[in-house]
Amino acid sequence: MGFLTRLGEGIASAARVVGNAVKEVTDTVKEFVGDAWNAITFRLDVGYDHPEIIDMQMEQQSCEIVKEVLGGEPFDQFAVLLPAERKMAIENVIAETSDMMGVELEGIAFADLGDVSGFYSEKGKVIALNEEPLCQEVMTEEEAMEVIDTVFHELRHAYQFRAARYPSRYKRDKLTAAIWRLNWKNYAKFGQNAKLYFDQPLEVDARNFAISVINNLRRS
Amino acid sequence: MKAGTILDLRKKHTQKSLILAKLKELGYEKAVLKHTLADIYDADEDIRDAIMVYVRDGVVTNLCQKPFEVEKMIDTYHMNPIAAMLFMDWYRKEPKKALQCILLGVDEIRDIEDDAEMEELDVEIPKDVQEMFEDLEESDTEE
Repeated sequence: MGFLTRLGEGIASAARVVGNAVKEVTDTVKEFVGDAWNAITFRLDVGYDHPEIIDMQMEQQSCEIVKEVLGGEPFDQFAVLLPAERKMAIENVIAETSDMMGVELEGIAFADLGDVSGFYSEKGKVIALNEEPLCQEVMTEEEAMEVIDTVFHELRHAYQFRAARYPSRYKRDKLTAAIWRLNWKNYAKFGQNAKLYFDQPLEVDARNFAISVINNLRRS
Repeated sequence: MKAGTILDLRKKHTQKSLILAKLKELGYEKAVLKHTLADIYDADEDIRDAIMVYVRDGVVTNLCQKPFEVEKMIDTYHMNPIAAMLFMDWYRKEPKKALQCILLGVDEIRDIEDDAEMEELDVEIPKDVQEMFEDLEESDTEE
């Protein structure tokens, strides 16, 4: 019995060592051929023909999540919360929505961003929101709407990056995915060229998605 | 060719080189650089002149297009002076859209990791979109 236990432990330990070595080799290969690998997987991906259906579903599910977290009149509800409660509500909305979108995030940050509403960091997989509007004692319904709009705008950016890499998995047509990839290689920041920033495909799509969610919430 | 025309061409070439160098110094890359250069050429004369003063002498002219001012745009939105002056031009030409851009709030995508080259993708991008993201080198060599 002792021998069998030791043998089992030995096999498990060997398997762990082999598993780690394989992972290390795979990671090194992926790192080495990163760009080429991405290009090959994109080429083999067939894409998805009806992204508009997925967008509609995503918008509806996003609304349901907001209502689940904040109740039937989400903007009013959000506005009357205490600052700490607002942050918690946002964290819940982001966690649930990113899960629904199939997007993994490393974290959510609240910081003083000046006049920037928020940002999405692809490298850190982080959504950051300006905490200034969240920290004020009195919040109007309009301001609540703006905060929730920013949340969905940034979530959409996180989705765009994955959909651009794996169109089928994220139910996106290949043309849109290719345009998004092209745009992220040539992303225009507001501080560099406001007009170009406003008109670029990644921003137009994120804006439209967030506005649709807000309009759906207002209608219901 | 007349001497005046040659001088004009030389002046234009020098101006372009100065603007390009400044834009690169400010961190502009690829298609964004190309579009910004085109926007500078398309801007109203007073705005183009103010941009040239900044590029040549480093002096920021505080252009005003109510309710916006170049210096305030630089402070409030962390725009560089060229971007702030181009915003004034945009606001003059498309006030509703420019205002909408400000009112809807400004965000950003940060730390974008470079990915596969587009040439390797098997998707036919529409011509207008291709033009939007064309690199500067191509258009630069045409002139």
